Parts: sequence; structure tokens; C-alpha cells
Amino acid sequence: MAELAWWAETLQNDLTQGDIVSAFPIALLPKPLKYLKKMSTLGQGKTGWLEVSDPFLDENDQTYYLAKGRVIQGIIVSHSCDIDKNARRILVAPIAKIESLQENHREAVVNQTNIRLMALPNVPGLGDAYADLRSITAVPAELIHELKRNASMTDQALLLLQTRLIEFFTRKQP
Amino acid sequence: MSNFEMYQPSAWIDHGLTHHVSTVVKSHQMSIRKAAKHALIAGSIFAVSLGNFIPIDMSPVQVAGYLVLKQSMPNVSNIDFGHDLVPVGFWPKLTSSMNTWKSVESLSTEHDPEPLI
Repeated sequence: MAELAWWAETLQNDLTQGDIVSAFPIALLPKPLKYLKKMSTLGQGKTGWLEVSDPFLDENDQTYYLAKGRVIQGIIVSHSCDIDKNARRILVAPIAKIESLQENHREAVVNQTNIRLMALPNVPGLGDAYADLRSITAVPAELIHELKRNASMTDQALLLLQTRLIEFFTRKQP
Repeated sequence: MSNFEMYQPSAWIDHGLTHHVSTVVKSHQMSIRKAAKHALIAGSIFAVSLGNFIPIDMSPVQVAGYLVLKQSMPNVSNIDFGHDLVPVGFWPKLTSSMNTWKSVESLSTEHDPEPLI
């Protein structure tokens, strides 16, 4: 029986679903939530951010807030169709080494039996890793396109990724 | 309701399969979309096994996956979309991990590791 080849020998020409991208910040809202208001009254032309309890809207009706997170590698989750059509947001799942998991969690991940964590064997430059589907996040496309791509999936592995995404979001076996 | 009805195969064909055709199997001579359509029409039960015929439901995504794999592994033979049985040696490799997801235990979050973010 043929082993599943996970990583293509060469990168896809363009950013593609399943690509591994270099580390970038992925943020999460901490608790308690802290909104920010831009201040220009710090003197000497300096500006700063003041923590406020309620959302402060800017001229575009957007607000700022404190966030925490990690600078971490990711795997592209957005469908290549959307990326090809210049999607402005690209969905990315953070990935990390299998060894970063507690030992009692590793077996289920490696055996692909944890529906929320997808094992990614032998990721080029990273080794055995996993993608955390619970932490998929939307990232501005222009930021993603600036990142270095470390690997592209083979067709078979990409199919498995898509299968796992269907399972994760629908609990249905495709 | 069959899996095929649940998954709205026409929608999958129009988007999922055609995407595979356009981006995954450009270099292949066979029209995957056309073959998948035939496969879907042939019936909702296909047999997939290594030597034995084990009937399972195949969704259009699986059909697409099967076809893509078939195209990339020409040593697999005996495919006839006019019949209900399709022997595929490598299919269990791809789906073996999915079988365990049927258990309720595997869906529990009680013992999940901390999220990465």
C-alpha cells in the first residue's frame, strides 16, 4: 500500500490551500477585555493608547483593543479558489511541533483521532507537527502574501486536509 | 435521506470537483468532472477495499478524492463507473483514521490539550 506523501517537492506557484507559512502573529482576545483609544496628547508630538472600558470607534467605525497571542507558523485553510480570486482575508490555522503537546495528548493526534487537531507529519523545516483547527483565524491577505512559504501539500494530503475540515466543522464524514 | 442527498452532490460537483479538475489534475488526460458525474449517477453505494468489496457510502468529496488518487496512481485498475463496485487498494489508508471519529469519546473536549492560541 502506498504511503501518503504529504509535502510536494516544490512549492506551488501561488499561495495555495495547505501551504505552510512562516511565523506571524495570531491574536486572541484576553479577559478582561480592554478597549483602546488613541491619544495625541502625550506631548512632544507623541501619541499613545489609553485603555478604556467601552469600544471607541474611529472614523471607519472600527475599534481597537488589546490582544495577546503567539508568533507562530500556520497552514493555509482558505480554499485556493478564494485565494486565486484575491480574497482580502485568508484563513490560517496555527501549527506547532507535536513535541509541544503534553505526552498524553500526542498519541491521539498522531493517529489522527482528535477531530480538532490534525497531525502534519514531517513538515519541512519543522518536523512532526499538528494544526490546531480550533484556532483558525482570518488574516489580511496582504500580510499572508508577504510571508515566506515553507511547504506545499501534495494533492493527496490536500484532500485529507479538506476532509478534516469538513469533519471538524460539520461532524459529518465526507 | 442518503448521504448524497444530504451533501447536495450537484453543488459539490459544481464547486469542489471542478476545483480539483482545474487545479489538481490539470496534467491528466481524463476529465475528472465527467467521470465523477458518472460515478454519482451510478449510485450512492460503492465498494472500496483491498481485495474484498466492503460497501460504504461515498460522498461526492470522496468520489473526487478517489478519482484524484486514481489518476495519480495508475497501477490501480478495475474501475467501472457503470457498476456499483470499485476496488481501491489505497482507499483504506486515507480513510482509516476517520473511522474512529464515529465514537462519541473522540468528540469529547474534556481531555483536549490547550489551544495553541
